Amino acid sequence: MQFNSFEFICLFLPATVVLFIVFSKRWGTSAAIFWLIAASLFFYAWWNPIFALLLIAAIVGNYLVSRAIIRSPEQKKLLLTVGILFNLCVLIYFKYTNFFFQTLREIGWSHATLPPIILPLGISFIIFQMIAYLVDVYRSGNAGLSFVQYCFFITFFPKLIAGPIMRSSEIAPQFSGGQAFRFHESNLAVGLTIFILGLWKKAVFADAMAVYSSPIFVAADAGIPMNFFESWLGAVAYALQLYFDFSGYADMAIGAARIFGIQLPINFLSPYKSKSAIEFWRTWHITLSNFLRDYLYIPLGGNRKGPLRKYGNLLCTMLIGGLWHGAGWTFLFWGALHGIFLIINHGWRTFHFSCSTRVGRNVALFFSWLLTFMCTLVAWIFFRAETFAGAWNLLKGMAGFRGIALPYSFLSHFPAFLRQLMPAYGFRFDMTETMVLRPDMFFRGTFWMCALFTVVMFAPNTQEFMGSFLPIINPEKHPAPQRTPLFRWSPTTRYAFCIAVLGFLSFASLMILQKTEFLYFQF
Amino acid sequence: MFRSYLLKILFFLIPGIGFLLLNYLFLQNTGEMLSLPQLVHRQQTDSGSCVYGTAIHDDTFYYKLEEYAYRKPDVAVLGSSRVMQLQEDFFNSSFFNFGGSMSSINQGEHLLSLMMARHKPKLILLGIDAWWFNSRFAQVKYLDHPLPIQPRFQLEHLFEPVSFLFRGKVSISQYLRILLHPSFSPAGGSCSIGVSARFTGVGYGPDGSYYYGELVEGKTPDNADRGFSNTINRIRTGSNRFEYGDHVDPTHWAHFLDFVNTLQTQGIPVVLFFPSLAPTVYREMDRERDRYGYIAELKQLLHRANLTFYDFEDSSTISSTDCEFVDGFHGGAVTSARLLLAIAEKDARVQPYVDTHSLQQLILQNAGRASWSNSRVTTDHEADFLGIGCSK
Repeated sequence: MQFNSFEFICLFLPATVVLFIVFSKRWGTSAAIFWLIAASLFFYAWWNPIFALLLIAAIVGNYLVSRAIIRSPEQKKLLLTVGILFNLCVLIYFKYTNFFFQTLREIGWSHATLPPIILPLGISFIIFQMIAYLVDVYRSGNAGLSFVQYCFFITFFPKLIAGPIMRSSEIAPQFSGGQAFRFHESNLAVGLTIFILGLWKKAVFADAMAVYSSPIFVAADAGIPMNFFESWLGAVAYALQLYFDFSGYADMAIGAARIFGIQLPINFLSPYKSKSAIEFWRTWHITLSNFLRDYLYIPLGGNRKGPLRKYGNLLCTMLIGGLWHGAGWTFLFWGALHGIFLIINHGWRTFHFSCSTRVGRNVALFFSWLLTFMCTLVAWIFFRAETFAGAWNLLKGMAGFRGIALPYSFLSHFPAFLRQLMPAYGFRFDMTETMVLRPDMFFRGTFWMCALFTVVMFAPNTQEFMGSFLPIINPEKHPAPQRTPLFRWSPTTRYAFCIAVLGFLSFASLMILQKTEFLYFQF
Repeated sequence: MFRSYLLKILFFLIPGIGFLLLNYLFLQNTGEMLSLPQLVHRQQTDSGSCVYGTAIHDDTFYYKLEEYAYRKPDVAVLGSSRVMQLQEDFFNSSFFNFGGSMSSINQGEHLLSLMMARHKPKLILLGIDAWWFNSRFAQVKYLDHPLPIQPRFQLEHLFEPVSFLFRGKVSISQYLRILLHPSFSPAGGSCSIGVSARFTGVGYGPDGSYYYGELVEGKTPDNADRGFSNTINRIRTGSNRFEYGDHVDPTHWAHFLDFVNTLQTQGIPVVLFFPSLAPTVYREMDRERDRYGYIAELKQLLHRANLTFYDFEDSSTISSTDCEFVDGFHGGAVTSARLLLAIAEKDARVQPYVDTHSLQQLILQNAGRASWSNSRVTTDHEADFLGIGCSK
């Protein structure tokens, strides 16, 4: 079941909320937790009941290992290793077996073909949370969560399939807190508002961009030479699509959880405003970055063993991060690129360059932002393209290797004065130039791209918009916005109207674009 | 405070969503929300006579490709909307009409690559529009490459029924009747898919041929080409496909030769023909012959390239009259039948696929009309929709 499906919005969520209210009011918090676990398992089983059984088995297995770690401190390292290996084996089997055999076939070492292995939904997120829990128990030596709490921690449906990746230390205090698992109108109002904002991002912004980015990437992978303008449109449209898709999903998860009084960790903080690769990874998919830092980079040695080892650790962490996103060489390369960006960024910092004037600082900041965005954009191309040839095809178009011209048929779409003016500024209209997109689609796509880019750069993010109504977990890790945003939500008629309009348009969009998956479901 | 906020959201949201649900239901009931595979499947299986006429989608090209892939015909006709009146009834073998999917040579190249990937017919008829070779006629270059994903459903579609109501295309009572009775079809016809087919009888048959519905029934109050005035005006002003030109554009000619060569190397016979102009329009063109030097040059080039073609621009050569035309440059079904008969009588490649005797009978029964009477589409009769005194 997807968050943007009718089943979820019209049936599952309302029914879960209503019964949650009944359970929590009549039988108390424990009954409400039981109900949410049952609803979450139903949510998962809706896709494939067999995998719900696998999920239950993994929960029981991991919980038993965590208890064994507590009970046998002398063997805890061995138990932790067994637990992690068990989880990784499950992940590797489902996610990487076919990739492994495909690679062997491609290099001619094997001719074996396996039947396709169905990837259980959200397995990467679930396994990471299970590993994190084992490590936390190992490190702290505490009992951690009770079995019911652990079940809730793993299965809670808003974050089950695509995160945010949660730590037990983030959920544990909420079990004993006053707000969680109790129905409150403020939670419903805030949660619903955030959920609708997320739905809007996904159903309207992300899906609108997909219409333009998908044909361009498919054509690039098919080997069709890509034009300069549409290469840029495709790359930027995909960057926007991915951002709105994933941050929309995160907002929907945070909003849905909030309805039940649960706070989830924040996952995005305007990543495309970042002025360095380091900042980008502190604002993009924050919970994954934190996981990779705390459970991979630091255990590998982090920055404690000299600069060379630090860079090696960075590269290794990002390579694994890339492979986590998908079983493919392009994902690995994407991870490698980001590893290299981070190494360069850390290396650059050691020089301590600074500008003395305000103008100089602003210019430097602008170019830092531009460079960061361009690097991210180039990396996204490898992330999205099916093949290296497709990615290279698009990059060549973006670099202007095939000239910078519009098809001749586009000429008639410009007003007369522009037609006369444009050649003077180097714009060519070429009879031999071709495009994948039709002129109306190209112009509409360009307009949408510019509009959404403006939104990304200048509109407040969800945290800024919700202000004090969106208390986040570990606020000390996420500095408060420097400026007061143009819009800040409050439960007034004006915002009720705005949220209703966004909800209305999102719902309308869903009616006709019913089967658009969230991009991160494949991870 | 929060309760009041939630109630206000509900207050604002419910009417809007209700309104969209009604529109969605209207479009769903008229068949506009069918995906292309669903649409083709229904059109081919549901009594085999459904006419599809959409009022919201702009993907006829892909619709026809889908239909073609499903039918896998022996004979296919390619060309612009001017060949859309050739119908499967004219042939004794399976047939598909790609009319309207090739408005330029480049578009034809694009179409050819896509259709060949799906199925290779045994014979192709290619209707040539002379203006494809005129550099002053804008070429549809942007369709050179396949479009992998077409956004068939868009947000604004859900608001379209409102514009139908405002423009008077659909009355409130018809809107409500569609909601209550999904099979209600104001234009008649046993199986109409899409708003246009339902309300005007306009649309494509399962063989890709086109039904003009309310236009030929004289129900279109503002028929722009009454007395061929619109087409004649185009000729007099040299506009809108009738641009003047002295010479054939060499690039387009080269592309055309490539196009024909591609077919020939694949062993598919291709029969070239120039579709007809209404006699009145042809005479007007003849008067301006000097300004259309490229047309004569084109025919010379075809001869020189040893490409056999049939020239029906002058429809008097096939005994067709103004009354058998839909407008100045779109021959009706009878004109198309005459044209096919003339080709079949001369061309041995076409003869096996055409039952000339039946075709002659059809022409005799319907002479002077632009369309067959076809009860599967409408029970209304053809009118003198051109206002030129035709007795129908």
